[in-house]
Amino acid sequence: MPISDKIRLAAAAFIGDRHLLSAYVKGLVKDNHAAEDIIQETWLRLSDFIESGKTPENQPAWCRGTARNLVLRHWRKLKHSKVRYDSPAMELLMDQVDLAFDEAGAKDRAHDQLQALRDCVAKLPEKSRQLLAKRHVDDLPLTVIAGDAGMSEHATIKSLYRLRRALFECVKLKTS
Amino acid sequence: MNPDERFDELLEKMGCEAISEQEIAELAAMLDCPERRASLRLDWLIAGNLGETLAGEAVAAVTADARPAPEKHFLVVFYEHALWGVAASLILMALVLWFTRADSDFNQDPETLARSMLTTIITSP
Repeated sequence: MPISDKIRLAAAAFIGDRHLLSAYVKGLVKDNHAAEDIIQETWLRLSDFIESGKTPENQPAWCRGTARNLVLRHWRKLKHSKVRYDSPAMELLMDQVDLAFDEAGAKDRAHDQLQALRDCVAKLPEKSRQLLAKRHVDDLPLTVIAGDAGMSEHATIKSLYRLRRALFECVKLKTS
Repeated sequence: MNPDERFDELLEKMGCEAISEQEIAELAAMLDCPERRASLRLDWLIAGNLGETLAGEAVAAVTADARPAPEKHFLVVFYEHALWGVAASLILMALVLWFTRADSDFNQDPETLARSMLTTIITSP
């Protein structure tokens, strides 16, 4: 198969798996811009790998492995971190996280859960949706969101957390 | 704090600079359970895709607002016109009956009747 076809197939698979890869990376780094950079870098490395004539046996696992290294590199750059990212505890945690994403049927379940998420988001009151959008779409700092909503920063964090918990419970209920 | 609340708290702290080595070890130990791993996956799936879902929701709302009203079936259009036609005919018939009654009451000759009808039409609001 020509390299261009291999890259096209890999791109289609990458797009198909991007929800889970996005969950993995954004869950670990909790920073949308950094996560997007890591996902893009993962794709570039995958396409380089394929262009060099190789093919990953399990593409989602290969991408997660690459993303994991990029996440560790990102963490090393953080200035005030208390944690050593090459510690045995971190290694163990990352292995458990990988296991969570490797579990059988995770992809199919993720598909149903994302559909349920869309339904649950549609049911939220407009005010709650706007609050979440400011954080997760516009990526505004908490101080700005709190100022707009006329709340304290602590109350905003709590509200955002409660909304995410409500969505979590809603999706869980719909897919159980 | 019960273990589930502690698990949620540690998940929130994960990736933040404030998390300690001890808390990472604690979270890793907690994840040695399939249910907790499934919870982590769902929590992160929501966190990782919420922005896209919310943006999609906003686009859908804008698209729905901008979408033109669906085209009516020709039968619906026909019946709507027919209804207006029937209503207009009924009004016309009522007017004719009213003038006819005026005619029978006073037994007017055609010229007087025509004048009476014209006066009624002109003076009616």
